[in-house]
Amino acid sequence: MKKLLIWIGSVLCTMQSVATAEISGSVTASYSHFPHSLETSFEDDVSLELKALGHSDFSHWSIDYELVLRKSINDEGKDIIEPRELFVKRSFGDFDISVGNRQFFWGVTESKNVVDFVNQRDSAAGNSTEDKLGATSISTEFYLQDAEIQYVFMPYFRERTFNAQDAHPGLGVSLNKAMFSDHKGSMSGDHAVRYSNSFGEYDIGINGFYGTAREPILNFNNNGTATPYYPEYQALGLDVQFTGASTLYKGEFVKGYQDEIETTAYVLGFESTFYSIASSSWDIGLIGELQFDDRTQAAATRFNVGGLRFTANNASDSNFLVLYAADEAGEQLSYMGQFSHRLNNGLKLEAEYTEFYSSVRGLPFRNLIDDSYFQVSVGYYF
Amino acid sequence: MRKIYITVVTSCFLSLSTSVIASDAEGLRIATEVDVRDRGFGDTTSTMTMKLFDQYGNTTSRSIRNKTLEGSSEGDLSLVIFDTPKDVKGTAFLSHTKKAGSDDQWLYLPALKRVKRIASSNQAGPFMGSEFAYEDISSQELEKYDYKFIKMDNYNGLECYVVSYDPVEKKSGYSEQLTWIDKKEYRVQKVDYYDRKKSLLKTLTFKGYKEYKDKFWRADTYEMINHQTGKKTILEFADWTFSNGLTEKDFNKKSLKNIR
Repeated sequence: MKKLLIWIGSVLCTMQSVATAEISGSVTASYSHFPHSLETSFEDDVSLELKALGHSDFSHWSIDYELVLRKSINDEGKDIIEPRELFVKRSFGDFDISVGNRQFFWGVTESKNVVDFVNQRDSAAGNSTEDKLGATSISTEFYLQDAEIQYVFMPYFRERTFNAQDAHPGLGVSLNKAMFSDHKGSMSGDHAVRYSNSFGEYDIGINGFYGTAREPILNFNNNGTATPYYPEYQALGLDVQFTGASTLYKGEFVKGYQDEIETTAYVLGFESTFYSIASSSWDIGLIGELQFDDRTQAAATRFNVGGLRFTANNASDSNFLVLYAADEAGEQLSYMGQFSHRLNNGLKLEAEYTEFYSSVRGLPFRNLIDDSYFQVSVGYYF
Repeated sequence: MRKIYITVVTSCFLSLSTSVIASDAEGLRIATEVDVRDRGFGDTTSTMTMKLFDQYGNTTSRSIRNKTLEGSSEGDLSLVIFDTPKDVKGTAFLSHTKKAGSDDQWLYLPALKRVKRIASSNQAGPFMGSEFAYEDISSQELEKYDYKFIKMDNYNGLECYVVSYDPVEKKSGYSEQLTWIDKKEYRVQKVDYYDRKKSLLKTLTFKGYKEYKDKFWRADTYEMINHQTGKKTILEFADWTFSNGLTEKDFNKKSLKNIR
């Protein structure tokens, strides 16, 4: 690890000394409290995350990086040194080619992006699907007016991160080395392609994937261990957004084969905003999404998600989000409240409470009840 | 006596009718002249510091870069990039203004590497928590208002036309914008914004006009005071450059993703 830190430091110094280079980032301290924690785990945790971002331009080519260092007091699964982005890009007019670790955002919905085939989740970072590991890749992008074609080849598969076995959420068992459906394992090579375009108020994306599924199936063994298993996955996806006057209508659809078993996943939803409530500067956004996923890895085949986003439109960009999710049978529930407020130009306060509930033994959310948490974070941005 | 009264009333009515018809045409002429005199700027870049003052005197500031491309058949294209507050550094707002109907708008969120198309009906909403609404900072296309000449007035030692700008768009937060335009150079000097209840909401004043390329006037300072809340926002512009060779390719989704 020491060698890696020295290497990262020397890379940053080199980048600063050439061409147009700039570094920014953040240091975030988080305190988490788990009110329903089991005795086998901890009730409180503190973690620190350093994020350094930079960009260096060298005429027709450039280097981008986003390095994340994270350390937790009680959860070694959270500890990570991760180049979420570290890639070289060469532009040829409307054609770009990049080599290295990259993050992509594919899709239009808010609660889940079933067409986002490329990046692996950094699930040890938290529940948010927005925390991703960099995809080690060679990628090309071609632009023609509003249309964009992306092709991403990923020669090396990145496994999902997990919290420590006694952490939140912990599996309670130790993890074995991951198994892959493809005999080449993590070196099997994945291919993803996306075409996106805008037609008036409609934004459309067509996505394809051939490779290994990002989400593992956890197989629990008799010896008190679990083995993550990554199946082969081939899929075709479509995402559509219609931008109305104050409402966005969104949909993502994927039809695929996972280890030759046909699968379907989709998310349908809307996001409607009511502006200047009661002649104030506050806006209220209404979010509703329906998730369907018949893959083995899904916590339930169908989830209904609803929420409200309150935006103060003030100098501190204060906003408050409440979300509710329930499976089709109403047997698995999740409530979340999230608050964000800028303290000054460099400091930001965030707080979140998430509660999981299920009365049915064996369902995933039943096992997550003790992982319900309150978290407060203060981030310093530089 | 009765004859005299009728004559007076009739003459007042005739005078008013003539005034309305004349002032509509005059209002449009003045607004068109303002627009025509700024045509041909091609493209511009500038930097901006946005200072927000609350009613208690507390101040916060934001650093922003702007790029604008003059539209040909449609409205102007503009790109706004935030350098501070530091937690939103790299966030960018792209707008394709339409002469009629809603503008097309996109937001780039660098933390997610996401380009998100957003609904543009929030014209009356505050821009980045400031006293400027989205419709105040978007391109002021001629077709977006009905015009009416009100009077001549002296403002800051300048002889000014006072013209009422009546927003065509029903989603506008204003019933009227009373605009002071100096007669000599056709520069907007002051705007009084009236809310939908026809109460005075805000006043925008322009200071430090400079002429660029012997034709195009740009103010260094925009000061917006909200009379109903006591809050104030000052925009300080600097580093104006014209004819940078920008094209439509600098205002598309690729350019958003490559913002640094």
